[in-house]
Amino acid sequence: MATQSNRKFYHKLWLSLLGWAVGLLLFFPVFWMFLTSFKTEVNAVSAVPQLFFQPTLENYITIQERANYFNFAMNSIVISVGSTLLVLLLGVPAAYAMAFFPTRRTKGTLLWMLSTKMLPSVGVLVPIYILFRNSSLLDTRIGLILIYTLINLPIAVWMIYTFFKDVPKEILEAGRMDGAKTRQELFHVLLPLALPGIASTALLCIILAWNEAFWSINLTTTNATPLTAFIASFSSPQGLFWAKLSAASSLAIAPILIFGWMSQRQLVRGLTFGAVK
Amino acid sequence: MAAVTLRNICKRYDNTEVIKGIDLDIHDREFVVFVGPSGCGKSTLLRLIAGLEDITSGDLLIDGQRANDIPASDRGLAMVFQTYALYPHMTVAENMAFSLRLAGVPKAQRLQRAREVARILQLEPLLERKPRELSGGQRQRVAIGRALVRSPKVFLFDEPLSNLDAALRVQMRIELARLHDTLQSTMIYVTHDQVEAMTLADKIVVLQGGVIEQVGSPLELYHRPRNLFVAGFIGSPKMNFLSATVTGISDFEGVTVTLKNGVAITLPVQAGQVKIGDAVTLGIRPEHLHLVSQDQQAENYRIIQGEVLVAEHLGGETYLYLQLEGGESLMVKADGNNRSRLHDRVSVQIDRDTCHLFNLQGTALPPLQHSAVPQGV
Repeated sequence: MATQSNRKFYHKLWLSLLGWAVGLLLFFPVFWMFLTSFKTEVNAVSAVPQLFFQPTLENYITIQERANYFNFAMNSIVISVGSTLLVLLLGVPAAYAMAFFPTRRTKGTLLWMLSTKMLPSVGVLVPIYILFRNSSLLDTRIGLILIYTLINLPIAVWMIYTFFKDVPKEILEAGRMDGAKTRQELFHVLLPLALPGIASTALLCIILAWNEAFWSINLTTTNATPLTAFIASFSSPQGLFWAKLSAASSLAIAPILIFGWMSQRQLVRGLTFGAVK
Repeated sequence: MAAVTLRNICKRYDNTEVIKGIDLDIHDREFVVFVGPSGCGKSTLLRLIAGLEDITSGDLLIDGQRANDIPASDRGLAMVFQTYALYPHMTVAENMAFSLRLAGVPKAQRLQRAREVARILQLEPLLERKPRELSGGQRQRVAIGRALVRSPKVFLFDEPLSNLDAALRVQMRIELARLHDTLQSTMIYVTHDQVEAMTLADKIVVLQGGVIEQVGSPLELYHRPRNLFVAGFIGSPKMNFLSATVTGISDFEGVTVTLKNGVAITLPVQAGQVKIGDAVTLGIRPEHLHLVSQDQQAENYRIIQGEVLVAEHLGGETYLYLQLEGGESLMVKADGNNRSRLHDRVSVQIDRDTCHLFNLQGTALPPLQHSAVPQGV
C-alpha cells in the first residue's frame, strides 16, 4: 500500500514538474522580452544576459515619439472585433444548417472548409493583393476585416457546429411545437444554450485576428496598420533595436494578453469541449 | 379540439419506406394510442402529424384542413417528448409560458396562465426552479404543463412515461387519464407498453413494419385480434400459441383441429380458405385456461395435460409454465392459492369459445355467424 501511494506521489510530482517546465519554457521569451523593454539598447545586446539592471522607460518614450501607439491599437481592436462579429454573423447560420439539416455532403463540406486552413497564405498572396488593389481595399480596415473573416470562418464554423451538435434536437423541436419560427428558435432556444461555446469561439477569433501578421504587414501601409505591423516597423534596415522592439512588442501583446488571461477559463472550456465529457 | 385524418400517408427516407400508406380517422376528443414494437414507425407517424418530419405522400387533415405543408410551429398542436425536452436555461414558469411569449401575450397574462396550469399539475412551489433542479416526475409534469398552457388542438405524447420508474409511471398514467377526462381534448399517444395502451386508449392503433395491423377499442383488440401479431402483442401475459392441424370442417360446428399431443378441439369459427390437413395456430390466453382435476370434463371444454416446468407464485395470482405431451409449452394463469410445484402433472381445461384460430398466413378465422346456419336445422 505504502509503495503504491508513494508511486502515486512521484507520478504526480513528475507531472507537476513537467507542467511547470513546459509552462516556464513557453512563458520565458515573453518574460525576457518584457524585461528587455526596460533595458538600454546597450544592456539589451550585452554578451552576458542581464537579469538585474537599472530599469528605464526610455524605450517606451522613444517609440511613442516615433509612432502613435493608440492609432495602431485602435486598428487592431476594430479589425479583430469587426472580423469576429462578421465571422459569427456568417458562421452561426452556416453551423446551424450543417448541425440540424445535414445532407450527405455536410461532413465533406466541413472537412473541405478546414482544409483551406492548410494552404500556405503566401500561395494566395499575389491574387489577393491584386484583388485588393483593384477593389481599393489595400490599407483599409474593411479589407483586413474581410481577410480575417475568411481566415477564421472555417475554424469558427467547425467549433460552433460542434457546440450545436451538443444541443439535444428535441429541445429545438419542442420550441418548434411551441410555435417558434426559425429566427425565434435560433435566438430564444439555440443561442442561449450554445452561448458558452459561441463566446469561446469569439474569443479565439479575436486572439487569432489580433496576432495575425502576414496579411496585416502585406496589405497595409499607414492607415489600417494594426499592432503587428507596428512591431514590424521597428525592425529597421539599420539593424534591430532590441530594447525598442521589445517595448513595442510588449505594448502590442499587452491588451490581448490581459484579455486572454481574464477569459482563460472560458477559452479552455471551449477548446476542450467535446473532448472531455 | 380537433379531428385528425390520415389518408394514405407514406414516409420514405432515401430508399427505405418506414410508413407504408396509413389511413386513419382520429375523432374529436378521442384518446388514440399508437402501439407496437420498436422500429414499427409509431413515433415517426406521430412526428409526421406534428410536422417535425415531412410527409412523403398522402394527405394529413387537421380539422378538415390539409396540413401537409403547414410548418410545425403553425399547426397548433402540442407535444410531450420522451426526454421531456425542457428549455434548460428557463425556469419552470418560463418553460410553460414560452409558447405564449412567442405568441406575443403580455407577461402578466402569460404568467397568470402558467400559474393556473401549475395549480392543475401541482407544480406551484416549483415555478421559479430550473429544470435541472427537478426530479424526473416533476420534469415530466412540467413538459405536460407546457403543452397544457397552449390549449392546443391536439396533444401529442411520444412515450412520455418510459423514462420514469414503475411506481411513478402508474401514477402519471392515472393523472393522464384524469387529464383527458377533464380537458376533453384530442390526444394521440405513442407507447410500446401495451398496458399503457389498454388503460388509456379509447382507440388503439397497432402498428408493425410501417403498416396498421389493427385499429379498435382495447377490448375489441383483446377479444377479436385480427392476426397473430395483434393477438401476441395485446394482453399480458402473452397469448399461448399451439401448432395444430385441421382435421374436420363443418358449416354448423366450425373447424376441428388436432394438437400435437393428439387432443382434438372443435372451434366455432368459419373455415374460409382453410382446408383439411392445413397447418394452423391455436391461440389461448393464459387467463382463459383453468386447472381442473383429472376426471372433470364438460361439454364445450377439452382437457389437456402437462408437466409444471416453472411456477411463479405472485401472491394474488400464480403463473404456471407447462410442458405439454407434444413438446410445446403453455402458460396458465391460476389463482393465488394454487399449490402446484415443479414437475407436478396438471390438467388444463380449454374453453373453445375463448380460443382463437389463425391460418398459415397468421390471419384470424372469423367466428361462426349463427345467422348463416340454414333454417330448420
